[in-house]
Amino acid sequence: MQNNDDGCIRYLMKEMDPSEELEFEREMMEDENLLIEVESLRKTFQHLGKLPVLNPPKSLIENISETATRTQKQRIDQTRKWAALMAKSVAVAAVFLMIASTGIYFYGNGSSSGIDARNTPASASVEGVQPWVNRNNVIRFAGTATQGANPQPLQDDVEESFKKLKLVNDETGFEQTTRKILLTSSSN
Amino acid sequence: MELLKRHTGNQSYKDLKDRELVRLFRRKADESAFNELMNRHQSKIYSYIYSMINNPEIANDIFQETFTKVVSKMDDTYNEQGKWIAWVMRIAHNATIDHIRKQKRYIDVNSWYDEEDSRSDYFDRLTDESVVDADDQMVDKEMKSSLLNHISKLPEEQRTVVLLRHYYEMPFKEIAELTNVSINTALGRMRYALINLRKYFEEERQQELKHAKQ
Repeated sequence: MQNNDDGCIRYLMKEMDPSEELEFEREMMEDENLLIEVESLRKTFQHLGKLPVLNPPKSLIENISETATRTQKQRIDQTRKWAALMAKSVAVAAVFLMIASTGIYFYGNGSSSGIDARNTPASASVEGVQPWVNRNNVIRFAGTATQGANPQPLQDDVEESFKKLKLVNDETGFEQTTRKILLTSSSN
Repeated sequence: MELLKRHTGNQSYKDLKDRELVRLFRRKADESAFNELMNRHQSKIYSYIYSMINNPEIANDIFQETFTKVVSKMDDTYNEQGKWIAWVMRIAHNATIDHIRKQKRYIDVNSWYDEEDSRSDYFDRLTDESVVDADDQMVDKEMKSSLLNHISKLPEEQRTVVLLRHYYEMPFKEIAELTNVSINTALGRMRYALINLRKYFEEERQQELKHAKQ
């Protein structure tokens, strides 16, 4: 029954699919009461077509239009001001950033040259320690290192090198072997 | 920009779609674009509010409130993909329902229909197309007045469905969404509204017959 009630309205308001419409019309042909109900509602619904279309007063329309345009103009102006302010802020920030990065760049260079100057004795002493390779392709370090004002880089380098290299403790064995070979050679 | 260059005269605004007019108004505060939108939709929106409220002064206030909200919310909540009129209609409907619920009572239509001033005010607002000749005009006005009277007697929910359907030809799916009910409920409300109206028309006819006999 509920389906038919909703169906009446959907049929009258033309909200049915063509297949549903056909089915509903068939039902109406079979059920006289349903047909009477639909026709009665249709007649009432047709009265609604006479509902008046009213216009608002002209003064009201003019007032709304004027207010709307003024409000929208103010909003657009505000948006533009805000956008201009943002653009200025971004420009100022960019200039500051540029100045700051330039400063850091130059300060950084100046500092590194200062460090070099302070470390000159240490660097000089590091130059004294020259690695060399003997005949058995073993890298050896020889020389003396004097600790300057900042000995840490030198110590770090040495420690790093020790990690990578296999220390040769038995120096004499190699030397002797070499000498032996040399002696044998010389004797022949 | 291209849109603005293309449409410089008032005539061309008539050719623009709602969406394009809204864009012109939003970007350039174009008064002509807004006026064109108003011309297209003001009658339906106003008629809906007027028929729901049945009070010209309050209808004017709600109409103005609706467009104040439309302008203030257009930038924030209106999505240009959707139909502008459906969005405006939702605002008008909510404003009307808010007013009715604030009042907490149904307006007695006779209180303003019986007043000569209000009657003339109502007739002044009828669109020109409804005017024929003097006699027909009188009959037509009486019929419309009677119909509005009957509509105003309907419960708020039923009146809403009837008027949304009539003035906006809104599908029941949209009416259901707008009024936060199921489609079946919306259909049911329409059905009960028609049954009630049928009853009111019948009562009116009986009264006319009684007067004729006297």
